[in-house]
Amino acid sequence: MIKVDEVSAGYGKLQILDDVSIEARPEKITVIVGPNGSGKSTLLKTIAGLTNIYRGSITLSGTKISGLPPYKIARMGIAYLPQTESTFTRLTVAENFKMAGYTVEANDLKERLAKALEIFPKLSSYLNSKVSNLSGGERQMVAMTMALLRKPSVIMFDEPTANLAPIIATDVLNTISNLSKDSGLTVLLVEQNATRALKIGHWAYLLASGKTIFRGTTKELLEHRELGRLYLGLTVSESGSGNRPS
Amino acid sequence: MVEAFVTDTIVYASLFGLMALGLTLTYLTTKVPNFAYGSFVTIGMYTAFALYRIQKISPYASAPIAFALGAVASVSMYLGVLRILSKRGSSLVALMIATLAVDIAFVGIFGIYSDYLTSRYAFIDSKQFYPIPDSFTLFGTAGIVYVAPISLGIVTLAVFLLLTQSKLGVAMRASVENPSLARVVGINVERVYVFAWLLAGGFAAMSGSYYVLWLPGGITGGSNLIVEIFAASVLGGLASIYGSVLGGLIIGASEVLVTKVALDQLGSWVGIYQKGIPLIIMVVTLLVLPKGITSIDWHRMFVKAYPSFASQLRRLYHSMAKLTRGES
Repeated sequence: MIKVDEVSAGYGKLQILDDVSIEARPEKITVIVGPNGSGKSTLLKTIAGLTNIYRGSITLSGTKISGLPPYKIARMGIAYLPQTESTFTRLTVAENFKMAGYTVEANDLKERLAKALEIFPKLSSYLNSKVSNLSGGERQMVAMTMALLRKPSVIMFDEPTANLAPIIATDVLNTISNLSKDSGLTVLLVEQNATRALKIGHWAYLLASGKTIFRGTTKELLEHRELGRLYLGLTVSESGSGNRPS
Repeated sequence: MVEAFVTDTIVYASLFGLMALGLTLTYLTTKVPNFAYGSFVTIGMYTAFALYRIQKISPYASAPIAFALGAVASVSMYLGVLRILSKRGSSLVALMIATLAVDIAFVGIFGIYSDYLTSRYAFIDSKQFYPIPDSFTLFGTAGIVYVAPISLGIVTLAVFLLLTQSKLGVAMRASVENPSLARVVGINVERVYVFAWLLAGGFAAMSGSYYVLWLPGGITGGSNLIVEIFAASVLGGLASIYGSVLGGLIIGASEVLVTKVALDQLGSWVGIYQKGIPLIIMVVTLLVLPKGITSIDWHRMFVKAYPSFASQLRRLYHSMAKLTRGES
């Protein structure tokens, strides 16, 4: 379980998050939504160790991770897929996988890769292609495979469907949903399309201006007319169709 | 007997290739033009000079020691100056000035060291010394004429293999392309940068120890070469390892060859303008090809210029491919 406890963070002297607290549990998808500039991406970056934390702490299964360098946080089992540039475009697909398994033994990496490629078999034929030659959807597959190769306990997606065709976006979200169910991963999902994300998620946090203004189940948020209308642009018909968290 | 300008070209071009490769490595990692890089070359010059004069060790044999000393100096500069300033959020200009300050400090240290050599060993020429005699000749030509290009070839091949075949090398490329992503996939980017600086300092000092086999050295010997080294790196595109090698070869060769032609045609008075040649090439490159020679799409240029030849080549390639697949 990952726990963010009253964290205030930002970039240099620019504070973005203000006393934000969240919890994300194994086998569940925790969705973080909010309007543009609310601090959703900054929250994920803060957990990954890429921002300055001014107050509060972050723990992974009880171990404090706030203040550690990003590579140590990554090695503790937290995978983060940034919104943009989630792959090394000048490297080949195989080299990207090699980097994802930087601290993994070669034989172990081979086994993990074989398993990961069962989820995205299409990538097998692109191993020697440069990532810059792949489509947006294929790059997202590479990024997800890179995350899985590290056998993380927590995986954080920052707008994984941004700039993807709707059909591919649906595939990506379904894969994320299956990952949490089948692999027992703790999933943190920041998504531009709030309705779609809330439908596959279990727990939800709504951020606005760097503060948490809602915490509860995704169903509760979908049914909350006022918040949905004000912050997520949801209409009445879109509300109330979420999955009940188990 | 090979003409002097040919051997000059070979040695000069090869050593600048080696120097530019190192400078590009430091630029790729920190994105700061390192004006102290010439001092790493001077470290190699003085290692070769001191070990030859005190112990009679040839610069070929002392090159690994020079490499190690240059590497230590380079890493110390990165960790002790640039990383600290970067962490404090210093601007690019501040970092550039810091490298200039380090260079001045290095020149001071070389001055002190040369005074020590003079007082301890009575080397009166230690501030400015003549080339060290080469330890071997082959077919009547000095050994450095063979060693310099061979060393450049070996180093370039080794760097190519490192960057493409080893995990650390691929991590270097990944850290250069996207340091944030490299950190979140678990790469210790700082350690990768330290390794790049180690190699850069080593290559500079190694080329410095070879340099004094051909040309004079001194306390500002390496610093005086900084324009040529930068010109080579800029010509190569600043961000391309292989481009910098090519840039070094072109700058070194042009400086010697253009000067020779100018001397022959215009007289000896043009000799003092030799150092202006790399400067002109650098300015022209920045104006015409800001991303260097590696940004030229040679394939498209070739196909446009010689379309029929290119299509014949393509046809030949496809026939060969069919043959190798066993198709008729």
